[in-house]
Amino acid sequence: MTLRECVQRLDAEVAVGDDALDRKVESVAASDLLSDVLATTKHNYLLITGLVTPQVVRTAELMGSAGICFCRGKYPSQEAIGMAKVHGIPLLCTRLAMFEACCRLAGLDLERPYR
Amino acid sequence: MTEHSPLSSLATSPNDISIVSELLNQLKVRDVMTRSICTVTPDKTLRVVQHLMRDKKISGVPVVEGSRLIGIISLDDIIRALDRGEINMRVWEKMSRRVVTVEDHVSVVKAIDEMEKSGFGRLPVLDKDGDLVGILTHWDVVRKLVVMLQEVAMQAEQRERSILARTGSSQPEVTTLDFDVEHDDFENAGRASSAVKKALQARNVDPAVIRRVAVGMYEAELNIVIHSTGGTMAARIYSDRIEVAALDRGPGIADVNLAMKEGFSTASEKVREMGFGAGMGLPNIKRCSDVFTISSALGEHTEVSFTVFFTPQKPTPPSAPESA
Repeated sequence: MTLRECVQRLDAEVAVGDDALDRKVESVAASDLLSDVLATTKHNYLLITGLVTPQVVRTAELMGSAGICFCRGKYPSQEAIGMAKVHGIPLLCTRLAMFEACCRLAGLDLERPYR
Repeated sequence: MTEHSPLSSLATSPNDISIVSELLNQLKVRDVMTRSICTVTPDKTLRVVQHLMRDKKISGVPVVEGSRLIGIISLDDIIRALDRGEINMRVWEKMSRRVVTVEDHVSVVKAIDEMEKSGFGRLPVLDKDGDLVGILTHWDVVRKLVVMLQEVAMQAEQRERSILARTGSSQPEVTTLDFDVEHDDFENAGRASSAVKKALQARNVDPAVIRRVAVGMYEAELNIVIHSTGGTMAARIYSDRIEVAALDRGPGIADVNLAMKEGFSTASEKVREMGFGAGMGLPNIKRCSDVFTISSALGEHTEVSFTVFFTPQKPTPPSAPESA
């Protein structure tokens, strides 16, 4: 799917990267631990996280991720936004909690996610 | 605080437009601000300020008492005063007391954000004690960038010339990139890894290999920032591999085998709140590299070195970490 589809599925706001919404997203990773993010072998993934520090942006840049979506209504700090603009990393914000965000991206029915 | 040239850590290609972004990220306000500031005391008349602005061609004058900033007078204030016949009033009667300022140790990127947010093109700069130490304008930033870019271009040219003279060709056998890494410097953590990643991309190295190098370097860089008193990272790029050495100045690891255990971490609460400290750093580096060595002892410095080959190697049995 594309970033645009992710934005739609998550009812997300685009904080950085209005011009990058056609970028392809091949998978999704969700974590609040940067070391977990560093250990992933996924490519072009959308990172769902509650961490709003510039270090998350730096990590995403180094790992070649497709973009970051902050969950639970969190908004990235000024420094994170600055770094994201400099390195071209799209930043999205959604009100959804991490589990709900992942469910929506996986196309699961939120009323009955366990089948 | 020792001054080191941020130029030593830039990728070698002067055509890389991201050099500007790297420079902006590294530069602090104090590297760029104007230190000789025109100020005025609150008892002076606005007429004095008007003349100051005319003579020095400035549009804002900070108002000080000693070294403390207590207000600011803008060109707009002067124009309004001239209009209303108030030009002989005292500065303290007309100055703005709420001044948008920036601290000298923050990055230029953050300062530019402040300027855009507040709408002011010139910001007084305060040091950690709250004293006025300079003033920052957009022009200061541009001027500094131009000077630094000229230095980068000159250095690159010199390097090319000396390589040409030595080897008869302008392709270096090994490219070395060196970086200083400071303790607790989370703002810059990852800068070295980012620069090396770009250098590898310029050489068309396989993206999967680049990712392994980036992860290894980032973990090593973070270790220096989080756990040591500071150190250096050196990356040597050969035609078939990259060798990275991360060396710190202390305090050393008491039990290297324990440090290599997944999940073991000595990180502080503050570090964990940032999302680090899961205890996966050293194991991650080992997993990402083809050759990995670590040497350390309590009271000594720690050195972590690893090699990543650009083409897949035959799998070698995992080497036991060496301890000093």
